[in-house]
Amino acid sequence: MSRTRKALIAGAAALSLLVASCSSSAPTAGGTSGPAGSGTGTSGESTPSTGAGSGSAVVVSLQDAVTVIDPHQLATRSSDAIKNALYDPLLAQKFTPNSDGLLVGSMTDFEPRAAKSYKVDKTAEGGMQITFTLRDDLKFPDGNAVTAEDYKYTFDRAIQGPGYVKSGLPFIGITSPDQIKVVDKSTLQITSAYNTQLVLTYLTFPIYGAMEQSVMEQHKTSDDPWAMKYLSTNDTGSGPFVVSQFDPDQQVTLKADGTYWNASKVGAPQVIVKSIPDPNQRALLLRSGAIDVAGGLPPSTIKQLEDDPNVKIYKRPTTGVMMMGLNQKSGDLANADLRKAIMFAVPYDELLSNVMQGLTVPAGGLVTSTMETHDKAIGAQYKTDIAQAEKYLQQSGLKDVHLKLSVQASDESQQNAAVLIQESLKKIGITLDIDQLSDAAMVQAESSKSLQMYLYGWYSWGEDPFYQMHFLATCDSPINYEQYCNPELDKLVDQGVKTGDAATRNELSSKAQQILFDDVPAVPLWSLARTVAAKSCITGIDRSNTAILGLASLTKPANCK
Amino acid sequence: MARYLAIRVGTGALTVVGVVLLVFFIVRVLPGDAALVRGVGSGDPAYVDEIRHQYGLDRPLLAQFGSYLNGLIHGDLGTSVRTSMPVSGELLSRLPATLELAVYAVVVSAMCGILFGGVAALRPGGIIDGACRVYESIGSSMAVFWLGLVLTYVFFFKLGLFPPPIDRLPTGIMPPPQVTGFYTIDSLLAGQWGTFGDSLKQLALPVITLSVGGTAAVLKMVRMAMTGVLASEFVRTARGLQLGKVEIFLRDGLRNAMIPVLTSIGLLFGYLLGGNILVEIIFAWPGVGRYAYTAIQSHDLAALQGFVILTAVLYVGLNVVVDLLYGVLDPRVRKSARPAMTS
Repeated sequence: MSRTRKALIAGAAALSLLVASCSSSAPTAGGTSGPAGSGTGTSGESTPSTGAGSGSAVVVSLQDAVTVIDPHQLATRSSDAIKNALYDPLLAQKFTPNSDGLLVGSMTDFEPRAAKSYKVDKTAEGGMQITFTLRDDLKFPDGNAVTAEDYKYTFDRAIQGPGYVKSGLPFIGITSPDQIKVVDKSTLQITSAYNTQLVLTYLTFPIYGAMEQSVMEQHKTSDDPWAMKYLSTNDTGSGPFVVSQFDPDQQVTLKADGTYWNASKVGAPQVIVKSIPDPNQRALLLRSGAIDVAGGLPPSTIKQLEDDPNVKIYKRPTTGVMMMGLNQKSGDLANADLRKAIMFAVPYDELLSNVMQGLTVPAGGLVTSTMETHDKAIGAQYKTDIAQAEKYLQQSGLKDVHLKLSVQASDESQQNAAVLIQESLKKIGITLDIDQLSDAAMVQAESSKSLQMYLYGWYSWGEDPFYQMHFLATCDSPINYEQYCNPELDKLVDQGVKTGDAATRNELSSKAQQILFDDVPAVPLWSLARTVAAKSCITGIDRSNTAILGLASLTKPANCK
Repeated sequence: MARYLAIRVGTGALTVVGVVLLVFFIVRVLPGDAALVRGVGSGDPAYVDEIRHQYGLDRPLLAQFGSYLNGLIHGDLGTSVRTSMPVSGELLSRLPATLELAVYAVVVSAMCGILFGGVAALRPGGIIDGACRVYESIGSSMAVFWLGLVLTYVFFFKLGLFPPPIDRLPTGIMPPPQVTGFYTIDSLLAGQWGTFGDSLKQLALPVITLSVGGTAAVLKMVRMAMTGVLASEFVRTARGLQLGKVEIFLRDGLRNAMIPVLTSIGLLFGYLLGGNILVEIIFAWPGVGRYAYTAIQSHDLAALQGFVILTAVLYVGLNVVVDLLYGVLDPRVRKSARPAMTS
């Protein structure tokens, strides 16, 4: 080959890069409107999708990537959304649209899902026994019928196997596989030591959706008796979707399962969950129509999207809480009056309007303002009152108070909040240093309980007030980073967990909330929000008792660009 | 030449061994705990301990080090705590994406840098030379993440000239059958012209983003080297002999200036292999840089170690190739078995 020819070929290859930008051989922006291809194909062009669901494929990008899809392993929020779509729990919340079109799940009203009916009986020991009759048309994607044995296997794995799920089950009075009984092929009986609403709430979680026992048995090994390795990247559920393509950390393509018992109610034939790490790019791609639903956007970005007529913002305040922890064993913070002074100096309204851009509601306590049993009278006392703050600071007898507040460097809202709190504390003479930590360093420092003050968010699945208080404020809780301990509060929380009676729960919760207000282990700043932005033509955005974004209800009309 | 090659490969291997030993201990000095990061949300210390045990993070440091070395010998870089997948497989599946991006960026940077740097050197102090100096300052000081966002906003969002900056192919398009892992090449091999065009379009914005700074670096080196060479006595002699301008430029000028230029291109390629993390984040590019970013965030030790080792191997390999090219360009290097310059 001559030198001239070599040079020409090299030049042509380089130029093709630029020329390609002007060619029209393939779809460009808005390429999401067509159906996505199957992961098993080898063809280079897009392939049509099949299965249930009407309309077009929906492309979703949340704040993180899908990593592990074993329901019993803790992973990212995007992973939770996938698990939610793959597994079919026995019960479901009832969803009704609010005035903004958001499907809101009832916290008290449940309906059968994989079960066609269920019956609740009190036990002689004061607990409850729930008998589920499974639907006749339940099938796994491979065509095998879903039986009570599969559900029993799933619960046994949750109780005895690897994963985090077993730590939550004692809250609903389940600690032994013996409490899960197979009556016959389609009848399952669950016995709880407690007679509380929380038992039913738990059974709506996707982590209790049936796993196909025969498949799991095939993939178990002597070192891995519960097939954890296999389930990390494979799906054995009977839910509305199956995994069509899975690239951990990058993209998951779900295909609606035509054999699903409720296939006609599934919104989209395909849902593609993509990882787009940069939130600004996520917002831009939503505005351009390249993706359909975006989550994990900072409040300032969401505010900008509100002006776009093609984008709809779904405010999804949760019962989670963003709080400022005050380590009781760290120097001056052992002084309760100082903690109260800080509590009254915090600029609650500014945090809501300037940091959260009005996208959420006040916290009003660790039992937040939208949570069952929240005491409004106590919640209203969390307000900025500089005179009260000065009074408590004087009462503390402390002078020249110098404190350090740690925040996550990756969280814009925490950094902005810290600056406002710093300014507000300065008004009463408290000097506050702000320390930005990487996510990993922050988690480690919190767990070692070495931080003095820190911003921290917590959300409890099931949204139970006693469950939330148990984690955030009881003496032995591993995430009580404030090292706060009040045995009286522990007793109230323990009683509340085991009590189903609404009036008693309200009474116990109010007493506990008053203790938390008086002792100030932490300052509740705002209710956590899981705001979602979507194209205006997308419907079916929901808000469940896990705050996981439901994928099965997402619908995109064919003309939605 | 064989001795020269042996020396270069030997020193490269020693460098990799040094990195392998150092990286294990360095990542463990960083603040954070991978098991905590993954499991803390459960509120259950037993679960965190379970994760720690599962990934061997509860074993004594020396025992972990022994397993790490044993794994390396067998090509096993460990398992990611975040994804529960083997790190070597994850890195290898992402490497072609990074390499493809880096290769195109280097090619574009080298072509533009050599072309404009060479032209600028023809008339030092002229308009083109002045413009190149301005470009060098702007291009080398521009933050890639900012440039990436601006290019995306203007050329994708406002003008619609490029596709959405997500991934290596548009959503819904399947990759071509894998041969090299480069979608542009594999699609051509499979005769999938549409996919070829799609992959080039997806490459365009990130490549331009990387090439702006890359071009500035190469341009500066070419301009300086060429200015010196073109002012040398042997070039003046060639001019006196009435040789053609193009011949003087290419044979006497460019070839003699190529060793420092090659060094800068080698450095640029090495930087792009390990340092284009921000570009991979902005363009949601599924390469090893993005993998490293998430590994750092989650304190995923095995993933972080794997990334550093892979980058070290690539960088050392690149240096060996560059050194060999020195030998091709300059016979004195071959004979002395020492590189003229080290990168």
